[in-house]
Amino acid sequence: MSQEVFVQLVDAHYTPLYRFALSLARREADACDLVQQTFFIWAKSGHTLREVGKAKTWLFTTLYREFLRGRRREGRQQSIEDLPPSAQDVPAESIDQARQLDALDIVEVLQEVDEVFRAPLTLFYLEDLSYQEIADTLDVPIGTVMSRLSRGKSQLRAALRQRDEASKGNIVEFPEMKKGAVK
Amino acid sequence: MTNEEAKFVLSAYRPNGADARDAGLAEALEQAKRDEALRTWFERSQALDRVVAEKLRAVQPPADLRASLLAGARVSQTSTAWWQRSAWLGVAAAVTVMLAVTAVMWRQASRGAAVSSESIREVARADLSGAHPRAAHASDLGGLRAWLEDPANRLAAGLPVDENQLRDGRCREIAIGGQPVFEICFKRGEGWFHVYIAPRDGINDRQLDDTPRFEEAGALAMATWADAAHVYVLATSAGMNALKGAL
Repeated sequence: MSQEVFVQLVDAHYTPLYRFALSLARREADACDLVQQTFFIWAKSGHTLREVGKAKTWLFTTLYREFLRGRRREGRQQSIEDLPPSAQDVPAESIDQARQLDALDIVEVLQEVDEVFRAPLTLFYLEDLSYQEIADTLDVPIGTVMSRLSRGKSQLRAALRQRDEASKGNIVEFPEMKKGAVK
Repeated sequence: MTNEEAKFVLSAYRPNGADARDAGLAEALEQAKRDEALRTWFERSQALDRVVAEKLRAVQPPADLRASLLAGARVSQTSTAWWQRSAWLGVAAAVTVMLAVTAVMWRQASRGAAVSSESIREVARADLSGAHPRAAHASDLGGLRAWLEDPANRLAAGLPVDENQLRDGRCREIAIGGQPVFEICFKRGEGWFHVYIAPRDGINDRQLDDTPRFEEAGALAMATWADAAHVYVLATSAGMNALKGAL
Protein backbone atom coordinates (compact mmCIF):
# COMPACT_ATOMS: atom_id res chain seq x y z
CA MET A 1 0.00 0.00 0.00
CA SER A 2 1.39 3.39 -0.96
CA GLN A 3 2.03 6.12 1.57
CA GLU A 4 -0.53 8.25 -0.27
CA VAL A 5 -3.29 5.66 0.18
CA PHE A 6 -2.37 5.25 3.83
CA VAL A 7 -2.57 9.02 4.41
CA GLN A 8 -6.02 9.03 2.78
CA LEU A 9 -7.10 6.18 5.03
CA VAL A 10 -5.84 7.99 8.15
CA ASP A 11 -7.51 11.25 7.13
CA ALA A 12 -10.82 9.54 6.41
CA HIS A 13 -11.07 7.53 9.62
CA TYR A 14 -8.81 8.66 12.44
CA THR A 15 -11.25 11.22 13.86
CA PRO A 16 -14.26 8.87 14.28
CA LEU A 17 -11.88 6.13 15.44
CA TYR A 18 -10.52 8.49 18.10
CA ARG A 19 -14.06 9.40 19.25
CA PHE A 20 -14.92 5.72 19.51
CA ALA A 21 -11.67 5.00 21.36
CA LEU A 22 -12.23 7.88 23.78
CA SER A 23 -15.69 6.64 24.68
CA LEU A 24 -14.24 3.19 25.39
CA ALA A 25 -10.96 4.04 27.05
CA ARG A 26 -11.97 7.25 28.86
CA ARG A 27 -8.46 8.78 28.88
CA GLU A 28 -7.19 10.82 25.96
CA ALA A 29 -3.76 9.19 26.05
CA ASP A 30 -5.23 5.67 26.04
CA ALA A 31 -7.56 6.59 23.19
CA CYS A 32 -4.58 7.83 21.16
CA ASP A 33 -2.73 4.59 21.90
CA LEU A 34 -5.69 2.55 20.65
CA VAL A 35 -5.90 4.51 17.39
CA GLN A 36 -2.14 4.26 16.94
CA GLN A 37 -2.19 0.53 17.53
CA THR A 38 -5.10 0.11 15.08
CA PHE A 39 -3.26 1.84 12.26
CA PHE A 40 -0.08 -0.02 13.12
CA ILE A 41 -1.94 -3.31 12.67
CA TRP A 42 -3.34 -1.98 9.39
CA ALA A 43 0.14 -1.06 8.20
CA LYS A 44 1.29 -4.56 9.10
CA SER A 45 -1.60 -6.62 7.77
CA GLY A 46 -4.46 -4.45 6.54
CA HIS A 47 -3.11 -4.40 3.00
CA THR A 48 -4.17 -8.04 2.71
CA LEU A 49 -7.83 -6.99 2.95
CA ARG A 50 -9.33 -7.85 -0.42
CA GLU A 51 -12.12 -5.27 -0.43
CA VAL A 52 -10.78 -1.80 0.32
CA GLY A 53 -14.40 -0.70 0.82
CA LYS A 54 -14.41 -2.74 4.02
CA ALA A 55 -11.48 -0.84 5.49
CA LYS A 56 -13.75 1.27 7.70
CA THR A 57 -15.42 -1.72 9.37
CA TRP A 58 -12.03 -3.45 9.61
CA LEU A 59 -10.52 -0.47 11.44
CA PHE A 60 -13.38 -0.17 13.94
CA THR A 61 -13.33 -3.94 14.50
CA THR A 62 -9.58 -3.93 15.07
CA LEU A 63 -9.74 -1.01 17.47
CA TYR A 64 -12.51 -2.68 19.47
CA ARG A 65 -10.58 -5.97 19.61
CA GLU A 66 -7.48 -4.17 20.80
CA PHE A 67 -9.55 -2.47 23.48
CA LEU A 68 -11.01 -5.82 24.60
CA ARG A 69 -7.55 -7.39 24.57
CA GLY A 70 -6.36 -4.66 26.93
CA ARG A 71 -9.41 -5.10 29.13
CA ARG A 72 -8.87 -8.85 29.35
CA ARG A 73 -5.32 -8.21 30.47
CA GLU A 74 -6.68 -5.99 33.20
CA GLY A 75 -9.36 -8.55 34.08
CA ARG A 76 -12.11 -5.95 34.05
CA GLN A 77 -14.39 -7.31 31.37
CA GLN A 78 -18.01 -6.92 32.30
CA SER A 79 -20.46 -9.77 32.42
CA ILE A 80 -23.57 -9.27 30.35
CA GLU A 81 -25.64 -11.15 32.94
CA ASP A 82 -28.15 -9.38 35.15
CA LEU A 83 -28.52 -6.36 32.97
CA PRO A 84 -31.33 -3.98 33.86
CA PRO A 85 -34.46 -4.01 31.69
CA SER A 86 -34.77 -1.34 29.04
CA ALA A 87 -37.02 1.63 29.74
CA GLN A 88 -38.09 3.01 26.40
CA ASP A 89 -39.83 6.28 27.27
CA VAL A 90 -38.04 9.38 26.02
CA PRO A 91 -38.97 12.29 28.26
CA ALA A 92 -38.65 15.71 26.65
CA GLU A 93 -36.33 16.72 29.51
CA SER A 94 -33.71 14.27 28.26
CA ILE A 95 -33.41 16.27 25.03
CA ASP A 96 -32.99 19.54 26.92
CA GLN A 97 -30.49 17.94 29.31
CA ALA A 98 -28.40 16.73 26.36
CA ARG A 99 -28.56 20.14 24.65
CA GLN A 100 -27.09 21.83 27.71
CA LEU A 101 -23.95 19.68 27.65
CA ASP A 102 -20.83 20.27 25.61
CA ALA A 103 -19.00 17.62 23.59
CA LEU A 104 -16.75 16.35 26.37
CA ASP A 105 -19.69 16.25 28.80
CA ILE A 106 -21.47 13.95 26.38
CA VAL A 107 -18.40 11.67 26.28
CA GLU A 108 -18.47 11.61 30.09
CA VAL A 109 -22.15 10.73 30.12
CA LEU A 110 -21.56 7.98 27.56
CA GLN A 111 -18.93 6.57 29.89
CA GLU A 112 -21.59 6.03 32.50
CA VAL A 113 -23.29 3.59 30.16
CA ASP A 114 -22.19 -0.01 30.75
CA GLU A 115 -19.30 -0.94 28.50
CA VAL A 116 -21.24 -3.68 26.73
CA PHE A 117 -23.80 -1.09 25.57
CA ARG A 118 -21.37 1.79 25.18
CA ALA A 119 -19.50 0.34 22.20
CA PRO A 120 -22.56 -0.12 19.92
CA LEU A 121 -24.10 3.11 21.22
CA THR A 122 -21.02 5.18 20.37
CA LEU A 123 -20.74 3.58 16.94
CA PHE A 124 -24.43 4.36 16.40
CA TYR A 125 -23.99 8.02 17.37
CA LEU A 126 -20.90 8.38 15.20
CA GLU A 127 -23.32 7.55 12.35
CA ASP A 128 -20.54 6.11 10.22
CA LEU A 129 -21.75 2.52 10.48
CA SER A 130 -25.17 0.98 9.88
CA TYR A 131 -26.54 -1.43 12.45
CA GLN A 132 -25.45 -4.34 10.22
CA GLU A 133 -21.91 -2.92 10.12
CA ILE A 134 -21.97 -2.42 13.90
CA ALA A 135 -22.95 -6.09 14.21
CA ASP A 136 -20.01 -7.06 11.98
CA THR A 137 -17.65 -4.79 13.90
CA LEU A 138 -18.59 -6.17 17.31
CA ASP A 139 -19.09 -9.70 15.98
CA VAL A 140 -22.60 -10.04 17.41
CA PRO A 141 -25.98 -10.75 15.74
CA ILE A 142 -28.10 -7.83 14.49
CA GLY A 143 -30.76 -8.51 17.15
CA THR A 144 -28.11 -8.16 19.84
CA VAL A 145 -27.04 -4.79 18.41
CA MET A 146 -30.66 -3.56 18.50
CA SER A 147 -31.10 -4.84 22.03
CA ARG A 148 -27.89 -3.18 23.21
CA LEU A 149 -28.80 0.08 21.47
CA SER A 150 -32.20 0.07 23.11
CA ARG A 151 -30.80 -0.65 26.57
CA GLY A 152 -27.82 1.63 26.05
CA LYS A 153 -30.09 4.56 25.17
CA SER A 154 -32.13 3.84 28.25
CA GLN A 155 -29.00 4.01 30.40
CA LEU A 156 -27.89 7.17 28.61
CA ARG A 157 -31.18 8.89 29.44
CA ALA A 158 -30.85 7.79 33.05
CA ALA A 159 -27.29 9.16 33.16
CA LEU A 160 -28.45 12.47 31.68
CA ARG A 161 -31.19 12.68 34.29
CA GLN A 162 -28.79 11.89 37.14
CA ARG A 163 -26.30 14.46 35.90
CA ASP A 164 -29.01 17.06 35.66
CA GLU A 165 -30.26 16.30 39.18
CA ALA A 166 -26.72 16.34 40.54
CA SER A 167 -26.02 19.72 38.97
CA LYS A 168 -29.19 21.14 40.50
CA GLY A 169 -28.27 19.61 43.85
CA ASN A 170 -24.84 21.17 43.67
CA ILE A 171 -26.18 24.70 43.71
CA VAL A 172 -25.06 26.01 47.09
CA GLU A 173 -27.42 28.55 48.45
CA PHE A 174 -25.77 31.50 50.05
CA PRO A 175 -26.60 31.55 53.73
CA GLU A 176 -28.81 34.40 54.75
CA MET A 177 -26.72 36.95 56.53
CA LYS A 178 -27.77 38.36 59.79
CA LYS A 179 -27.91 42.08 59.84
CA GLY A 180 -24.77 43.51 61.28
CA ALA A 181 -22.81 40.29 60.91
CA VAL A 182 -20.45 41.80 58.35
CA LYS A 183 -18.48 44.84 59.16
CA MET B 1 -45.34 -5.97 14.83
CA THR B 2 -46.32 -4.38 18.13
CA ASN B 3 -45.27 -0.87 19.02
CA GLU B 4 -42.79 -2.25 21.55
CA GLU B 5 -41.20 -4.36 18.82
CA ALA B 6 -41.13 -1.36 16.50
CA LYS B 7 -39.37 0.74 19.17
CA PHE B 8 -36.79 -2.01 19.55
CA VAL B 9 -36.07 -2.00 15.80
CA LEU B 10 -36.19 1.79 15.44
CA SER B 11 -33.50 2.16 18.10
CA ALA B 12 -31.08 1.28 15.29
CA TYR B 13 -32.29 4.06 12.97
CA ARG B 14 -29.53 6.66 12.67
CA PRO B 15 -30.58 10.27 13.17
CA ASN B 16 -28.89 11.41 9.95
CA GLY B 17 -31.44 9.42 7.94
CA ALA B 18 -28.85 7.10 6.41
CA ASP B 19 -31.11 4.12 7.11
CA ALA B 20 -34.23 5.56 5.44
CA ARG B 21 -34.15 2.89 2.73
CA ASP B 22 -33.06 0.01 4.91
CA ALA B 23 -35.34 -2.96 4.28
CA GLY B 24 -34.89 -4.27 7.83
CA LEU B 25 -36.33 -1.06 9.29
CA ALA B 26 -39.01 -0.39 6.66
CA GLU B 27 -41.91 -2.08 8.44
CA ALA B 28 -41.24 -0.29 11.73
CA LEU B 29 -40.89 3.04 9.91
CA GLU B 30 -44.21 2.51 8.17
CA GLN B 31 -45.83 1.71 11.48
CA ALA B 32 -44.43 4.91 12.98
CA LYS B 33 -46.12 6.89 10.21
CA ARG B 34 -49.48 5.26 10.94
CA ASP B 35 -49.45 5.08 14.74
CA GLU B 36 -49.53 8.44 16.49
CA ALA B 37 -48.14 7.23 19.82
CA LEU B 38 -45.28 5.45 18.11
CA ARG B 39 -44.64 8.48 15.89
CA THR B 40 -44.41 10.78 18.90
CA TRP B 41 -41.99 8.41 20.60
CA PHE B 42 -39.89 8.10 17.44
CA GLU B 43 -39.70 11.87 16.93
CA ARG B 44 -38.53 12.41 20.50
CA SER B 45 -36.08 9.55 20.30
CA GLN B 46 -34.65 10.95 17.05
CA ALA B 47 -34.44 14.45 18.53
CA LEU B 48 -32.36 13.16 21.44
CA ASP B 49 -30.25 11.01 19.11
CA ARG B 50 -29.55 14.02 16.88
CA VAL B 51 -28.36 16.11 19.82
CA VAL B 52 -26.06 13.37 21.14
CA ALA B 53 -24.65 12.61 17.68
CA GLU B 54 -24.01 16.30 17.04
CA LYS B 55 -22.20 16.72 20.38
CA LEU B 56 -20.12 13.60 19.78
CA ARG B 57 -19.08 14.88 16.35
CA ALA B 58 -17.73 17.99 18.03
CA VAL B 59 -15.08 15.94 19.89
CA GLN B 60 -11.76 16.56 18.18
CA PRO B 61 -8.69 14.34 18.41
CA PRO B 62 -5.48 15.83 19.83
CA ALA B 63 -3.72 17.94 17.23
CA ASP B 64 -0.65 15.70 17.18
CA LEU B 65 -2.45 12.39 16.67
CA ARG B 66 -2.41 12.50 12.88
CA ALA B 67 1.32 13.27 12.80
CA SER B 68 2.00 10.41 15.22
CA LEU B 69 -0.04 7.98 13.10
CA LEU B 70 1.79 8.89 9.93
CA ALA B 71 5.19 8.81 11.62
CA GLY B 72 4.45 5.38 13.09
CA ALA B 73 3.23 4.08 9.75
CA ARG B 74 6.36 5.19 7.92
CA VAL B 75 8.42 3.09 10.29
CA SER B 76 6.02 0.13 10.00
CA GLN B 77 5.99 0.28 6.22
CA THR B 78 9.77 0.22 6.08
CA SER B 79 9.58 -2.96 8.06
CA THR B 80 6.77 -4.35 5.86
CA ALA B 81 8.73 -3.70 2.68
CA TRP B 82 11.53 -5.78 4.12
CA TRP B 83 9.14 -8.68 4.67
CA GLN B 84 7.78 -8.41 1.15
CA ARG B 85 11.13 -8.96 -0.57
CA SER B 86 10.92 -12.54 -1.75
CA ALA B 87 14.68 -13.04 -1.59
CA TRP B 88 14.50 -12.48 2.12
CA LEU B 89 11.57 -14.79 2.82
CA GLY B 90 13.72 -17.82 3.62
CA VAL B 91 15.90 -15.80 5.95
CA ALA B 92 12.80 -14.32 7.51
CA ALA B 93 11.35 -17.79 8.16
CA ALA B 94 14.57 -18.88 9.85
CA VAL B 95 14.63 -15.75 11.97
CA THR B 96 11.00 -16.36 12.91
CA VAL B 97 11.83 -19.87 14.15
CA MET B 98 14.69 -18.48 16.20
CA LEU B 99 12.37 -15.86 17.64
CA ALA B 100 9.85 -18.51 18.56
CA VAL B 101 12.30 -20.46 20.69
CA THR B 102 13.82 -17.53 22.52
CA ALA B 103 11.71 -16.13 25.30
CA VAL B 104 13.27 -12.69 25.33
CA MET B 105 13.02 -12.35 21.60
CA TRP B 106 9.44 -13.61 21.72
CA ARG B 107 8.59 -10.69 23.96
CA GLN B 108 9.99 -8.31 21.41
CA ALA B 109 8.26 -10.00 18.48
CA SER B 110 4.89 -9.71 20.23
CA ARG B 111 5.39 -5.95 20.42
CA GLY B 112 6.43 -5.57 16.78
CA ALA B 113 9.73 -5.12 14.94
CA ALA B 114 12.28 -2.83 16.54
CA VAL B 115 12.03 0.75 15.32
CA SER B 116 14.53 3.54 14.84
CA SER B 117 15.03 6.25 17.45
CA GLU B 118 14.30 8.68 14.61
CA SER B 119 10.62 7.73 14.91
CA ILE B 120 10.66 8.90 18.54
CA ARG B 121 12.26 12.17 17.47
CA GLU B 122 9.52 12.60 14.84
CA VAL B 123 6.91 12.39 17.59
CA ALA B 124 8.94 14.83 19.71
CA ARG B 125 9.15 17.30 16.80
CA ALA B 126 5.39 17.09 16.33
CA ASP B 127 4.85 17.59 20.08
CA LEU B 128 7.11 20.61 20.22
CA SER B 129 5.63 22.17 17.11
CA GLY B 130 2.74 23.11 19.37
CA ALA B 131 0.65 20.00 19.05
CA HIS B 132 1.33 18.44 22.42
CA PRO B 133 -1.84 16.82 23.84
CA ARG B 134 -3.69 19.09 26.23
CA ALA B 135 -4.29 16.38 28.82
CA ALA B 136 -0.87 14.77 28.59
CA HIS B 137 0.72 16.24 31.68
CA ALA B 138 0.18 13.78 34.48
CA SER B 139 0.24 14.93 38.06
CA ASP B 140 0.92 11.60 39.78
CA LEU B 141 4.47 10.84 38.67
CA GLY B 142 5.82 10.83 42.19
CA GLY B 143 9.54 10.62 42.71
CA LEU B 144 10.67 10.43 39.10
CA ARG B 145 9.30 13.84 38.17
CA ALA B 146 10.84 15.33 41.32
CA TRP B 147 14.16 13.75 40.32
CA LEU B 148 13.85 15.15 36.79
CA GLU B 149 13.00 18.63 38.02
CA ASP B 150 15.93 18.77 40.42
CA PRO B 151 18.59 20.86 38.61
CA ALA B 152 21.32 18.97 40.47
CA ASN B 153 20.48 15.77 38.57
CA ARG B 154 22.00 15.17 35.13
CA LEU B 155 19.88 12.94 32.91
CA ALA B 156 22.71 11.52 30.84
CA ALA B 157 24.38 10.24 34.01
CA GLY B 158 21.49 7.79 34.40
CA LEU B 159 17.78 8.04 35.11
CA PRO B 160 16.19 6.05 37.97
CA VAL B 161 13.75 4.32 35.61
CA ASP B 162 11.52 1.43 36.65
CA GLU B 163 9.51 0.29 33.63
CA ASN B 164 6.65 -1.08 35.73
CA GLN B 165 6.30 2.23 37.53
CA LEU B 166 6.45 4.01 34.19
CA ARG B 167 3.44 2.07 32.96
CA ASP B 168 1.43 3.29 35.93
CA GLY B 169 2.82 6.80 36.16
CA ARG B 170 3.72 8.52 32.92
CA CYS B 171 2.34 11.46 31.01
CA ARG B 172 1.77 9.42 27.88
CA GLU B 173 2.42 5.96 26.52
CA ILE B 174 2.76 5.97 22.75
CA ALA B 175 2.95 2.90 20.53
CA ILE B 176 5.44 3.58 17.76
CA GLY B 177 5.49 0.74 15.29
CA GLY B 178 4.11 -1.43 18.09
CA GLN B 179 6.88 -0.45 20.49
CA PRO B 180 5.97 1.23 23.76
CA VAL B 181 7.46 4.68 24.35
CA PHE B 182 6.83 6.46 27.64
CA GLU B 183 6.83 10.22 27.83
CA ILE B 184 7.36 12.29 30.94
CA CYS B 185 7.03 16.06 30.88
CA PHE B 186 8.84 18.15 33.45
CA LYS B 187 9.95 21.68 34.05
CA ARG B 188 13.39 23.05 34.83
CA GLY B 189 13.70 26.76 35.29
CA GLU B 190 11.28 28.36 32.86
CA GLY B 191 11.48 25.64 30.24
CA TRP B 192 9.40 22.52 29.69
CA PHE B 193 11.24 19.33 28.81
CA HIS B 194 9.91 16.07 27.43
CA VAL B 195 11.82 12.87 27.95
CA TYR B 196 10.77 9.87 25.84
CA ILE B 197 11.88 6.52 27.21
CA ALA B 198 11.79 3.32 25.14
CA PRO B 199 12.94 -0.18 26.11
CA ARG B 200 16.38 -0.76 24.56
CA ASP B 201 15.33 -3.96 22.77
CA GLY B 202 12.59 -2.09 20.89
CA ILE B 203 14.99 0.36 19.26
CA ASN B 204 17.24 -0.83 16.46
CA ASP B 205 19.93 1.89 16.62
CA ARG B 206 22.63 -0.35 18.07
CA GLN B 207 25.22 2.44 17.80
CA LEU B 208 23.52 4.52 20.49
CA ASP B 209 25.43 4.72 23.76
CA ASP B 210 25.58 6.93 26.84
CA THR B 211 27.01 9.85 24.86
CA PRO B 212 24.13 12.13 23.85
CA ARG B 213 23.73 12.94 20.15
CA PHE B 214 22.29 16.38 19.55
CA GLU B 215 19.90 17.87 17.04
CA GLU B 216 18.93 21.52 16.83
CA ALA B 217 16.40 23.39 14.71
CA GLY B 218 15.73 26.93 15.87
CA ALA B 219 14.72 26.81 19.53
CA LEU B 220 13.96 23.09 19.28
CA ALA B 221 16.75 21.01 20.74
CA MET B 222 16.93 17.25 21.17
CA ALA B 223 19.38 14.74 22.52
CA THR B 224 19.32 10.98 22.06
CA TRP B 225 21.30 8.48 24.11
CA ALA B 226 20.97 4.99 25.59
CA ASP B 227 21.98 2.80 28.48
CA ALA B 228 21.75 -0.98 28.72
CA ALA B 229 18.00 -0.98 29.35
CA HIS B 230 16.55 2.07 27.64
CA VAL B 231 16.85 4.59 24.84
CA TYR B 232 16.15 8.21 25.77
CA VAL B 233 15.16 11.22 23.71
CA LEU B 234 15.14 14.52 25.60
CA ALA B 235 13.45 17.41 23.80
CA THR B 236 12.79 21.02 24.65
CA SER B 237 11.89 24.23 22.91
CA ALA B 238 13.98 26.16 25.46
CA GLY B 239 17.09 25.93 23.28
CA MET B 240 20.30 23.92 23.14
CA ASN B 241 21.93 25.55 26.15
CA ALA B 242 18.98 24.65 28.38
CA LEU B 243 19.03 21.12 26.99
CA LYS B 244 22.73 20.65 27.66
CA GLY B 245 22.21 22.08 31.12
CA ALA B 246 19.83 19.23 31.92
CA LEU B 247 22.18 16.56 30.64
